[in-house]
Amino acid sequence: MAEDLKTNDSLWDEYNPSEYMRSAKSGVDEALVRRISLEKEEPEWMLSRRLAALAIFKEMPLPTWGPDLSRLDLDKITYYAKAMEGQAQSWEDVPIDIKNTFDKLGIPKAEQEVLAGVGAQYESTVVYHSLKAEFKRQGVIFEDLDVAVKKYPELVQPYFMKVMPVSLHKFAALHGAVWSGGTFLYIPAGVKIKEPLQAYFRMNAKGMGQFEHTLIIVESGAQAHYIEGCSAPRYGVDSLHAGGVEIYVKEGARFRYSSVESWSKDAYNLNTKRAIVEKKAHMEWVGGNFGSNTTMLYPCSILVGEGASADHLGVAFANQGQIQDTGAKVIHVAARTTSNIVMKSISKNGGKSVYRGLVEVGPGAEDAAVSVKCDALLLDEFSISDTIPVMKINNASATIAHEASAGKINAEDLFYLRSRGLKEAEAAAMVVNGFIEPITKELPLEYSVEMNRMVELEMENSVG
Amino acid sequence: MQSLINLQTEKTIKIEAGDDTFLLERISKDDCLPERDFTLAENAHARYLLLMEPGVSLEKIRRFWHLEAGASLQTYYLFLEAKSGTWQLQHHLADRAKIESHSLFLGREQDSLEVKASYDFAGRGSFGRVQVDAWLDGDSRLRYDADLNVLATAQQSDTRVDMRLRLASKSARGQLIPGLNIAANDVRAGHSASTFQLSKEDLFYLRSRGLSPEAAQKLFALSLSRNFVKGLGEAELSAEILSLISARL
Repeated sequence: MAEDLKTNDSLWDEYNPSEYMRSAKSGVDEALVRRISLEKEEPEWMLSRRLAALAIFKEMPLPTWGPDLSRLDLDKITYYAKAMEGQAQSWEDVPIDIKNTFDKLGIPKAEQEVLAGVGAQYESTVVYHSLKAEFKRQGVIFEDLDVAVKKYPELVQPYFMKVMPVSLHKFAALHGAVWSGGTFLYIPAGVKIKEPLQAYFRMNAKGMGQFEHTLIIVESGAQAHYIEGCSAPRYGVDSLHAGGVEIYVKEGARFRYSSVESWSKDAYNLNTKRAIVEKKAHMEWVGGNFGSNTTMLYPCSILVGEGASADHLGVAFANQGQIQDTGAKVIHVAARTTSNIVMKSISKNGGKSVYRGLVEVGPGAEDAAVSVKCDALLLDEFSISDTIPVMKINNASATIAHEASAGKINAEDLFYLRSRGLKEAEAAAMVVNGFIEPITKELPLEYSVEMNRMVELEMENSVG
Repeated sequence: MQSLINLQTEKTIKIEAGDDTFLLERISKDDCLPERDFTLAENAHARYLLLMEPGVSLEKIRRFWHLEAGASLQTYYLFLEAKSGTWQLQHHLADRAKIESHSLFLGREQDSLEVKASYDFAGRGSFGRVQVDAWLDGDSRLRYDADLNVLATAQQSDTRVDMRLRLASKSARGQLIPGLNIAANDVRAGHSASTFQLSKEDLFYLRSRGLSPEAAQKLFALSLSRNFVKGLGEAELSAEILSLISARL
């Protein structure tokens, strides 16, 4: 991300004309699913899976827990729209309005300066994808998933929607039926990539839905860091993001997945992210949730190999009209597995943040160790913070510690900063940035700066 | 003046300010009211022991406490055996009301207990400390929800719940859910949940003193029980409880 990038509302809220929407229809049915599959020239097995997912979607009710989703009119969402044909080989080949959007988001600049590879999705399809030659030579595959389904079926088919089955919940089923675009990342055994790879997902048109699928396979002993960013302009009508992320971390591998979500405050962000972590492997989730009107997002690690471990670090900022229902799930299946969950939430102007977590220690998870820490800041008397951790303990040898606290900004901290000449809102923003520092410090510098600026933006007009 | 009240068939009970009242409710298989409402009047103080004796098998039991302004309550919920059932323990606190709540569940064999405890802090300056301890042996099961609900009117409240679980057998299962729902900003609120473990050093020490692992587990449960009765302040009752627990172990 460009260091001099100015984060403000107009950055995300500007939108381009969307002539391509004339041929797009709202609502989802079998004809649409078949059309998506046909246009992508998918193999038969993928179409079969899409149709099976659609059948499950139609039967499944909305979740009965969590935020109220009954006002989301699924018939008014546009599930598939292509802004351009094919995929550009260079940014110069991307249509100018789309390129300008990604320029403003700082993606091409970041590609040159800090990234090993980048993908850019606009509406339902990926418009640009690249990977540095040195990593291609080492056998790394970083592709649009639409392309990978046809180019690497032997790698995609065994993993696709295995850790995130379509039966998981209604929006996983919807995703299985209409998924489009996304990322396929394959890191061969022993390959270590120091620079992060990034994908950016942009919704542009009114009432759009985005359903990108990210499939990542990290072979034994490999290491990588992958970052996802996303945004959409605000129109005043609902939009929907129901993406899917599946990560397979093989024996002794280490993988970090970071995401900064800035969907518009019209958007329902009902995302599913799950990882399977094998013997002595390590998975890290680092997330920031700032946008959308309703977020339901609980990254999940399933620790299936002895000595596997997972870290879940997250920040959620709920401002006026927002419900940030986020958390973490860790399922300890194997012996001597460990997990560490650190969540920070901020609620302001009547916003509601919820930590919803599950830690499950299975009967075979001898000597599992779990640490959970959740802190909430409430910036005014209109806001709400809920913490709902569930701990299912099925093994006597487990060591589990969960700690949570909630409160307001320390008045002494504010007083001190104001005495140094800061305005009240600036001082409050500084305190909040300090509060989330354990999370931002885990991001590359450019991204932690962006997250801090997003906090400052959310804190504008704050009275502390 | 202290008064001990053995609760019998009263469905609603109101405690006025003045006395130091100790309420004892024994729930046995022959004698149990499914629902009971308590009110602590303004500035009243009471202690309450709910003793669930062995052999009780009830589907649903509900106890509701309303603490008026400035009232203070210590509750002791002791579950010695539960064949099955769901308990609802509800507490509502007005301004400056204070609660200290202790729960102990010692499960064994096929015991199965589900507790939904809620603590609604509605009043300004209300205070709560909730401690839940469980020791599960055999095939016993426990699900314990302890929700602290800090309402928008409860500014300057101070609340906390701590839950601890020990599984003493391979087939015991426990679920702890310490919820924290906060709608006021000028508050202190926290919760924790953890498993008890004897460290390797502790176990080595106990074994070097000739204690088998099973005996060490029992000692552990007795230690929890002693902590539980410590605040009761009723010597005879405490002795009876410890005796009941020892017999079960």
